[in-house]
Amino acid sequence: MSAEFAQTFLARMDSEGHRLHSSCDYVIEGHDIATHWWSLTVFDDKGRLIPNAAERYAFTSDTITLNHDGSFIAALARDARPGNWLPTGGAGRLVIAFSVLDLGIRAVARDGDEVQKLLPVIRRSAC
Amino acid sequence: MWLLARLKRANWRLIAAAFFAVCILHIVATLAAPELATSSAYDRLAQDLPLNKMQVVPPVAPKTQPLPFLSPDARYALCRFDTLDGSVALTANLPGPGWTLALYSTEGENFYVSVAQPGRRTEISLLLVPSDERVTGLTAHAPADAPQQDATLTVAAQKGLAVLRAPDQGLAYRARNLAQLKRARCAFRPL
Repeated sequence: MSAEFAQTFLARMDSEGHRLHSSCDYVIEGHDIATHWWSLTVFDDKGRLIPNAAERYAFTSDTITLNHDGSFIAALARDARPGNWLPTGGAGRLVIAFSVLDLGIRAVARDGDEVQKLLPVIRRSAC
Repeated sequence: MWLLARLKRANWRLIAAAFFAVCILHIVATLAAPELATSSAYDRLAQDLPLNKMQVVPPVAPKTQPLPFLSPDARYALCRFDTLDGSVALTANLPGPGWTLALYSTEGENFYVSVAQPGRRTEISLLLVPSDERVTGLTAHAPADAPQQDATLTVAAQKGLAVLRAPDQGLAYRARNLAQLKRARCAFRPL
């Protein structure tokens, strides 16, 4: 879709520059933005969804559980975690996709700096 | 000393020519890669779609993921349109945030998009008409026989995909969103 309305950001490394891998656990922290619809999806390094018994592959701004201040925390791990958990199975290298859709209230997607502020932070919690 | 002697005897013109030839080959191969790909995104998505008919496709899942990095964050209804022998009428409803209707050429170029806005129900009515040029622009046209509907946009397009996207809003909304997707229409009108 046109970059004026929608953008997808792919992360292959965590905030410390380490390659994302299913042998580690990660915490993704971000903040909901009322002017955008967004989604957070985990893939393997070839862009394939990771099969899991929970059939859970993504969260959206409609389906994620937000904190009272509008922030969110999602966990990426092999084993189940409380809250917003995305299973990583034994996928190996991971890619996290963050897609944002401008709802037309204001054309934020045209401003690179504004979009950068929306990006969640990926922190390794265990390995 | 032996290495130095070998380097002095080397044909540097030939080495430079070979280096530039490799560079040119690399650039040409990179630029040609999209053309040499075995199947495009359009081919993959359109192969099972009927012509000029809106069809709701299965939810994106590991076994049904048609494209790499396609997220299951939405359900889709697709119409493979072709205006070679006539026009194609598209109607859809975008009931809330996250809903979009987009038109793509066979090369994957997005040349039209409509995005639902919060608190506003958007009725979309498009008439895709044949043209020698891929896109000549959009012109508003309000049909007199449909006063209750928003203005119909006439879009010049030859072949491509219309993609109606319903965001995943959770289990409670899936049946309603699926019903809205099924209401979308893509109908051929002969010249």
